[in-house]
Amino acid sequence: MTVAAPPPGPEGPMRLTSFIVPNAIIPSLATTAAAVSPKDGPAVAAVKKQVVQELVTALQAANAFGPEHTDDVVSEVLRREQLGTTGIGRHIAIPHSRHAAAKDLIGALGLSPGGLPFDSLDGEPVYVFVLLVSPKDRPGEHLRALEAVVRTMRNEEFVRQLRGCETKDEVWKLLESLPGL
Amino acid sequence: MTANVRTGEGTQVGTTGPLRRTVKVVNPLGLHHRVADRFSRAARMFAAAVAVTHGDNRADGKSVWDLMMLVVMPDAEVVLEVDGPDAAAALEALSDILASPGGEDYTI
Repeated sequence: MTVAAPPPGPEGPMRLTSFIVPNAIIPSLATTAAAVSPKDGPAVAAVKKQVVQELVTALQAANAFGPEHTDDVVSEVLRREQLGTTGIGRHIAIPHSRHAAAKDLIGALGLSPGGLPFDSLDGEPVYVFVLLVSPKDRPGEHLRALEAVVRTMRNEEFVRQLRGCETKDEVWKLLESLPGL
Repeated sequence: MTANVRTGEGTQVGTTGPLRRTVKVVNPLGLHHRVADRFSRAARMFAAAVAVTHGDNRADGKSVWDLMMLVVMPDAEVVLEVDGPDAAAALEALSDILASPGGEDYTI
């Protein structure tokens, strides 16, 4: 059984380009974990912290929120992660948080060429990270953004092309090229 | 098999086929990722096939990906359908997950 059609509300399906901040696209994350076993809990936790810091810092550097919020946004995303992994399998993770620093729904996208352990549901490394920070008072927007990420990342050919991108512009153009979004 | 088909609080006894129940998602964040994850993990514990329908869209209840694509807002109703040898137990357990606020931390 599968979902038959994009369901979201009266506004229609959400586009990734409506919340991913162009300057918060990282085509090659600096975080690496070549020597980390996915079964080494503390080491995996350190990797998760590092990659979340990298993504949140990119959002802040893109002026998505003030620098005074960076540490707290990182903490909240990691606190959410402790309640259950957002490594949803198929090499995708969607770390997220609702935070007062976000006036609008915002997202960063990072690619890890070598893959990172992220406690994923299927135990596989993650190559594509979409970090979301949404305002506290808009649960519907948050749900629609998660749907947009999942709907897009189900497309294996899209993910293959995304992982082949080497620059922010290439990623952005690929996101913009998605039909029907 | 003989089964109970329940819609909301109503129960119809003596129908064969899957069990269905309409459930209101009372979680103030809707059917968000943590609930979908908890639901799909629980669903996989049962042999019964599990489906969740929201409007025109139907999801495999054992797939967190499918469930996240339903975009179920707070207080929306979904139809839970289970079919298999342990369907009755699955219906109760899975309804509880959807219909309970869950005592989670809503500040995240």
